[in-house]
Amino acid sequence: MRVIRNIFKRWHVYITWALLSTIFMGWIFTFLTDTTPAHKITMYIHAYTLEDQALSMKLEEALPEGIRMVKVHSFDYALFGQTGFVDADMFLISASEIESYLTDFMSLEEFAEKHPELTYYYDEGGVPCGIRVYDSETEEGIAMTYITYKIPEALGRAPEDYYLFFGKEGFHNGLDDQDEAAFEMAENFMGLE
Amino acid sequence: MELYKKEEIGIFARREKVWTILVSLLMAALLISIITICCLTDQYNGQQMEYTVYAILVPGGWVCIYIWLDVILMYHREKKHTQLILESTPHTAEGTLKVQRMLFSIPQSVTVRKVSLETVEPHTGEVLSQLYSVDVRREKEVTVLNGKSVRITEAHGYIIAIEGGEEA
Repeated sequence: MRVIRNIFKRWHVYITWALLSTIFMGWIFTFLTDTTPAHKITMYIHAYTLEDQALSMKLEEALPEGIRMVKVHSFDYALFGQTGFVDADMFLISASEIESYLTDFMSLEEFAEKHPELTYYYDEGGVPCGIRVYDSETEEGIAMTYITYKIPEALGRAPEDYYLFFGKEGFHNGLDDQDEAAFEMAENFMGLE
Repeated sequence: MELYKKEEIGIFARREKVWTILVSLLMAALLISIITICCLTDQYNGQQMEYTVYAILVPGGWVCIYIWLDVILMYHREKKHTQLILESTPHTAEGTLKVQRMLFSIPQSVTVRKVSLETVEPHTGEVLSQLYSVDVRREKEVTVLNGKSVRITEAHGYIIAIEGGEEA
């Protein structure tokens, strides 16, 4: 009884320890487990909800050659001024957000020729630059175990399609003699339920 | 009946030392296990390793904090308090013992119960009351004599020995 009383008397010390130790170790682990962009595929997803850790772990089960890590971030993460946002390899965003970021995405002309069965987003010049991954009419999409695309009706926003884009400044998009790991990863990603 | 004994200083010092060694070993074990887990992040899933570290570090730290604040510091304070009392000059007094309900936690020291010793001035018949302190860890020997006529030895305001027990 005395032990419990003493613990409750100093509850703030125990809470402070729990907070500080997890923040510090989180920082250490981020530092330890991170790797260079050459060995990492970074993806930003703007959806209603996102299981980023679970999706990263699932995608890491089948890594393309030379890749050690997949980092999946919510768009909220980019609000903290991450410079990595521009250098990201893949972006998954809703149709209404595309115009704001269109200049950061690469053209998918060659990819579209190889995969005519997919539905694309075309820019003003008629060039395909995004792959549709969620159809708001049929409510079907990829990786729906990890991503919630459908916004609850109570929020009063119209349902939207979602598209997958590849960053112009990414490290694995096949441009400038780079590897095409982002496209290999996208195939895995698009196969997820 | 003596409430403070010189041997107690050695006992408290030994206990303080033993618990300090134990908590140091525990902290070293925590540190080694965390470093080992950090080194294993190349071979296993980093996320799972991170959660494992939290599961070890947070409760392990709580145990260390508890031992440090509530065991080691308690023995350290008891040792200092006993040293202070035994090094002070003792005085004796007689009277009727009245145990008060008041308990005081002295910051960075022991918790004490207040007791009063009531004496009757032989010439005027006036009742004089003097307050003393008793360390709560040693109060049993004193509280059983509540309301009885006792002879106390005090040092620094603390009762260090008590005898008597006749009805007042």
